[in-house]
Amino acid sequence: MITPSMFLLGVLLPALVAGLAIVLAVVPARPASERGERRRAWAVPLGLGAATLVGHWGVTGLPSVPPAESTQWLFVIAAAATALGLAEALRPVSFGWTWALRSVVVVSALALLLRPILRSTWGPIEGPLMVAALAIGASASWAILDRLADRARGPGFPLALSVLAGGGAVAVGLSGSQLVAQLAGALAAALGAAASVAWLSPGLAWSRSAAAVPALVLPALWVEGRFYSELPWSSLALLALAPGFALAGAVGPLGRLGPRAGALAQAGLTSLPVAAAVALALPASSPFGL
Amino acid sequence: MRRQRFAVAGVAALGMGGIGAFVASASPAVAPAQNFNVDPVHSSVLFKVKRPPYSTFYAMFHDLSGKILLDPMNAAACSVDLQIKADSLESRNPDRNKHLRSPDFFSVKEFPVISFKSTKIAPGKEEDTYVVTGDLTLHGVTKPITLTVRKTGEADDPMKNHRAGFETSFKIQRSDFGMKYGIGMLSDEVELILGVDAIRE
Repeated sequence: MITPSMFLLGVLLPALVAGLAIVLAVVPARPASERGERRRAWAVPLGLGAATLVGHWGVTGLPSVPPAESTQWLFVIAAAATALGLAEALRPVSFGWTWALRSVVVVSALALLLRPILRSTWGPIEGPLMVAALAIGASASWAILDRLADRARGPGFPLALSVLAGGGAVAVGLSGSQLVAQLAGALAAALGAAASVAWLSPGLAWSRSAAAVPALVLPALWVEGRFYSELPWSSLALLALAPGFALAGAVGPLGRLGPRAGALAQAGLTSLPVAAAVALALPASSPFGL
Repeated sequence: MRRQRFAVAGVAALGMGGIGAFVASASPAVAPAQNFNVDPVHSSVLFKVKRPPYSTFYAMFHDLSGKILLDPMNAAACSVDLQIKADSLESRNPDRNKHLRSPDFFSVKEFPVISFKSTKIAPGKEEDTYVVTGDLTLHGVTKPITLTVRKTGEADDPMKNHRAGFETSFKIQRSDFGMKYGIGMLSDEVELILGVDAIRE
């Protein structure tokens, strides 16, 4: 059950923050100017990151220092993703260095998130192998989001990710944790607001830095749902594959569609694995409210 | 003469030994401190939470284990060390069990054990009661609590196991232990009720 205050702090406020940031990104003096592009490059990760952090604060409050539980580490991971997105926007480095830094952040995030299980459940070989496999999956997903940011114009990029975050929120909620579902819902609301603003600016181009927050936060939420709730492996795999479906809507014949029609195609394709992930999570469903 | 001296000494020695034995047998028996192991089959841990404004809700944990050191003559020498497996939670509804075990509440994969370890035990005001102070670790947070424990009985069972029983109930604020989800829909205050059955080693 979502109370009015949860809706206000966990949905409306993140949407407002992200929406304002995207407005800032799409209203430069001259849209084609280099200054406008630079502003867009940092405003989008800042807006999505701030919205995610605000949503986390609204849903669970601020984390303790150091974080005392895995859901609090999600806040730190969102902050790290925001910082990384800003760094990629403001100080671009070579492809190799970019991926070296991303790899460090992804592996660290997974290790911190899964620390209790690494300590008590997985052995010395199984644990690192599991983290490595998850890190490879998250990195592959990030690379696909980079490509999507390159190719999708206007609302396509945030709309497809909003569908992914929103559907993933439902799947995680059905698997036991409403709290994690609400955190995913906050990001979905932020991406939805970004898509709404971008709908009015269909020529808007996205930089790769826009991918940082969803590329790190969404896998972290799915991992939290899988290992601390009961999100099925099959749902996790489908959610991880969903960015590939979004990209399929931005290349080939579908890639030649206009920005708005293309956005609907990308969102529609994304919804296929997401709907399957939700359907597979249904048998593990939990009632909303005790 | 010499034989008489030996005879007197022998009688005196026997007499002293006899008195010693008498004195020893006449003094009250001092029972030593005894170790008891918690019997999970006959022990219960329930918790009660309010669902404002309607009702109260009860759930339980199946798996309680631990040790109790019981010294009938000296409460300060007693100790209690209990562990509850968090994933043994049972609320009579499989879906609700999943929700309660999730990060929203107990996060049992992250915090698999709930424990209590006494730090100080004193006699209570009433007969067979103890005031037990100790550290409760729940949801990864350790806080000191004080509770009144009543010894409900002690005797041999039909299988000749010597058993002792204890019960207590106490209230905590779950937010003190980092469990803040859904406060308002479910009360912050949670009452825990323990009935412990333990077998002497």
